[in-house]
Amino acid sequence: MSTEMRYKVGQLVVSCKGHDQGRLYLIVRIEDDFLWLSDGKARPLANAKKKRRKHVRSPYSDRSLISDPEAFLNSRKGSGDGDKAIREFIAASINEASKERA
Amino acid sequence: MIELKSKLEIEKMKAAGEIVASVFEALRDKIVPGVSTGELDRIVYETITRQKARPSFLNYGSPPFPASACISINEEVVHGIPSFERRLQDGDIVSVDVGAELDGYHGDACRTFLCGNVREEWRDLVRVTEESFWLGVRKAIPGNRLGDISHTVQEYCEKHGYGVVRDLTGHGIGKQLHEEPDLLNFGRAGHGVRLCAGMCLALEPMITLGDYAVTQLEDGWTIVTEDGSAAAHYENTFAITEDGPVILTCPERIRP
Repeated sequence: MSTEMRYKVGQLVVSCKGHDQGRLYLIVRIEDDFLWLSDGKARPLANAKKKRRKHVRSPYSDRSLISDPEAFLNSRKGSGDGDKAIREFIAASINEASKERA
Repeated sequence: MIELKSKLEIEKMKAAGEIVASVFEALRDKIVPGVSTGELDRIVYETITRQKARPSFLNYGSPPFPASACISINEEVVHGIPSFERRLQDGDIVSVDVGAELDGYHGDACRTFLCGNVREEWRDLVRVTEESFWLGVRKAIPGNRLGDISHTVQEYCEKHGYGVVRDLTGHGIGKQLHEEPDLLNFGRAGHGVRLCAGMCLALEPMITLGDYAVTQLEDGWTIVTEDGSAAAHYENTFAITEDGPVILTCPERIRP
């Protein structure tokens, strides 16, 4: 049974290769073998990081999905709120994962 | 972290792998027009449990996979859910993916069977997919890199004009069905993790007649080609030893 590397815009992923290894990002764009990633901080929406899909992993299964990612990103495009929302979303996901482990 | 297996662990995985191989033997003359995929799954379950093993796929993942085998027909690439309502038709290509756990270790393999009179174009796809596995696994020797295997599979299949699925990969295997590392069917030679003795991997080329893009059906499991083209899948679990790869799920061909 194969493992999946299928990603969607709005999904939370963790970098598993490169100097940013271990950092969490939100996928903001997908094109062929590449993903554009933002953490709302070092890599804001306006300067998303381009990374190969094989160099990331999905950390928390379904909870890493925003229910309507396109609407989420569109509603915040250019307003500056997007980066803040991404930071909050990543922090909330980490909290949720910590609670589950505890 | 990649877990290296001892000789004893590899022996245990071989025992699990032989059970998987016995399933394919049991199915070989059952893949005929009119048989339901649910019936094939029943044979898989009985063959595995009769040998005191457990079907690795049953209740695996989220949503829990509801069967012992993934059975995927024609444009279905992988993870097809068996059903007593779904019957094979003359000319279908049918991939049967099977996993068995014995004594805490897993074996995982897949074969694409021909059902009745299959068009030549699809026969070639099935043959090339299998050949790409054997070419790729020959690169699984200590000192080489994962990318050497991946690149070999990709180059051979693309040379034939086929699509190499990107969204699904092979994997490490052992105490868990899916362990690190991911083993891609595409990549660059000389890149990736360096291979060493004790690594146990499942290489599984998933190859299409058309584009490599795939999508998932609403059942949460079945993966189909986006363009509706036929797909083939071939897989074996193997261990890397100092003497090269040893195939654990294909007793008739232990060395590539």
